[in-house]
Amino acid sequence: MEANVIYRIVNGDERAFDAFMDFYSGALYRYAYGVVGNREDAEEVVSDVFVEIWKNRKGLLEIESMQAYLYTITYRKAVSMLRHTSGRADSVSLDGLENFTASTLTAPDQSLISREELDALNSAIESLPPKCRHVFYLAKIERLPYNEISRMLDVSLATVNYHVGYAMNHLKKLLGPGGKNILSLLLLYLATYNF
Amino acid sequence: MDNQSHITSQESQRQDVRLESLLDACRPEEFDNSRIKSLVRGKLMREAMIRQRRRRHLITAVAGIAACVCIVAGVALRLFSGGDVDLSHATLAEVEEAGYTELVVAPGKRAELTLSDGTRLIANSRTRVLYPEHFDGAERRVYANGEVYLEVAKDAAHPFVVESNGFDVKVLGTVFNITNTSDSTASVVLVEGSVEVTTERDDRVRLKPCDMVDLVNGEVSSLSHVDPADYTLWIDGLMSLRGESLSTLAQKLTDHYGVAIECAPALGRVKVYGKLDLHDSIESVISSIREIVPMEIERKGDRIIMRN
Repeated sequence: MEANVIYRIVNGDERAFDAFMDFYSGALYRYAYGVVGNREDAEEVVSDVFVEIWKNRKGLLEIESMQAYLYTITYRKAVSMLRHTSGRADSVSLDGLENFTASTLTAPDQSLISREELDALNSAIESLPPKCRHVFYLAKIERLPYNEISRMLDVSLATVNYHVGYAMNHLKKLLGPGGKNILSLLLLYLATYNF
Repeated sequence: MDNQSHITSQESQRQDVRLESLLDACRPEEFDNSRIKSLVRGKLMREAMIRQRRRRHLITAVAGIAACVCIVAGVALRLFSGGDVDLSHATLAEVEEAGYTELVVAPGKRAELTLSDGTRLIANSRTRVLYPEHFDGAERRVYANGEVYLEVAKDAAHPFVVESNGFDVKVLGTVFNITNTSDSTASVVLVEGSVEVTTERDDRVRLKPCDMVDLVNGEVSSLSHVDPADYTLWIDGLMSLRGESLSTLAQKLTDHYGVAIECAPALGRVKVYGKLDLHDSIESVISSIREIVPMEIERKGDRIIMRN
C-alpha cells in the first residue's frame, strides 16, 4: 500500500479508503474467519476494523507497520466477538483460542499443481494442532514477519519459531516420500514451470 | 552411517525448499469484499446521522437567542497537550486544519479577546483557548480549557458553542463563565441569557441566569443557584473567598500564579472570607492573607509554605 494512499485517507479521501479496503479486506477477512469460524461474524469484525481506521484516520501516519496494526486490531476484535458469541470470558491470548480455521489454498491454473496435490496440502494443514496452524497460517500463508506475529499474539519469538518449525516438519512428513510424496514431484513441476 | 545422515539432511533441506515453493505458489481463495464495504458504509453513515441528529436537536433548542457564561474546565489540559491518539485528538487536528489560533494565558495573567463576531472573551491565568480568525459554517465554535468568561454576540442563525473536554456549552443567550481547573471537574455559571450544557455522556442541562452547574468526570454532579458576581470577580483581577479552606485557597493560588503554595495540615482547615486582589504579586497576596490568618511563611526553593 503506497504512503500516498494513507495521506489521502488522512485527508478524508473516501476513494483512497475504498482502495485501502480492497487492498486489505481479503487478508483480514481470511484471518478473522480463521478465528471466529463463520462468514457473518468475520465480515462484522472486518467492517468494524475499517470503521475504526476511518474514524481514527488522523493518526494513521503514526502507524509504523499498517499490516501488523490491522492484523492486531482484527485479532482483538475477532477474539472479543468469539467471547461475545460463546459467552466465554477467556483472556485474550493464543491459549484462549480452541480452533483456527485456515482458509483453503488454491493454485493459479498455469501453476501445474494438481487438484490432488492441493487437497493433500490443505488436509495436511488442517491436521496441524490449532495453535500451530494459527501461527503457521500467519507466517507461511500470509507471510507476516515473525516478530510481528509474536507481538500481536503476545507470545515469544521462540514460540513462533517452534510452531512454524513443528508445522513445516509435520507437513514434510505428510507430503514427503513417506507420505503423499508430492514434494519431489513438485520439484519437477516447478522446474518445468520456470523454463 | 555418516554419509547416510548427510544425505537425509540434504534431502530434508530439499524438501523444505519444495514445501516453501509449494506454499508460495498457492494462494488463499479469492473473496468478494462488497458485503464488508457496504457494512462499513452503513456503520459510518449511522454514526454520522446520530451526530447530525444531536446537532440539529441543539440548534432547534437554540433558535432565537444569545449569553454570558463563565466556564471553568480542566480535563482538556491533557487534550491540548496532545499525545493520546483518540477521537478528541482527531478533533484537535480538525481544529488546526480549520485555521484556529491557540491562546495560552501565562500564570498570573489574564487575556481579553474580541472574536470576529464581536463576542468578548476573557481568559484567566493558565487558560488555553482555541478560536478561529473568522467564524464560518453553521455554528460558531471555540475550545476552552481553564477559566473563561464570555459575552456572546447575538446571532441566532449561528449558534455559539464552547467546547471543553467532556462537555459542550451551547449558548442560547449572553454572558457566562466556565471553570475547569482540576483534572475531572468543571463548572459553568450563567450570568445572563440562556445556555445549554451537554456532556460527553449526553447529560443535558439548560441553565437560567444565576445557575451554576458542576460537572464531574463528564457527568452533571449538581445544579445550584449562585451569585454570578462571585464567579466573575476574576475578570477584574479579584478572587472572592466564600469560606473556602485555606488549603483550597492555596491550591487556587498555585493554579493562578503557577507557584507551588503549600499549607500545613493544621492551618489548611481554616476558613477564609473576603476578596483578594490578584493584580498584586504572590508575595503581597500572601501578606494580605496573613492579615486575616496569623501564620509563618517559609520559602523552600520555588515553594511557599504556610505554617502556624
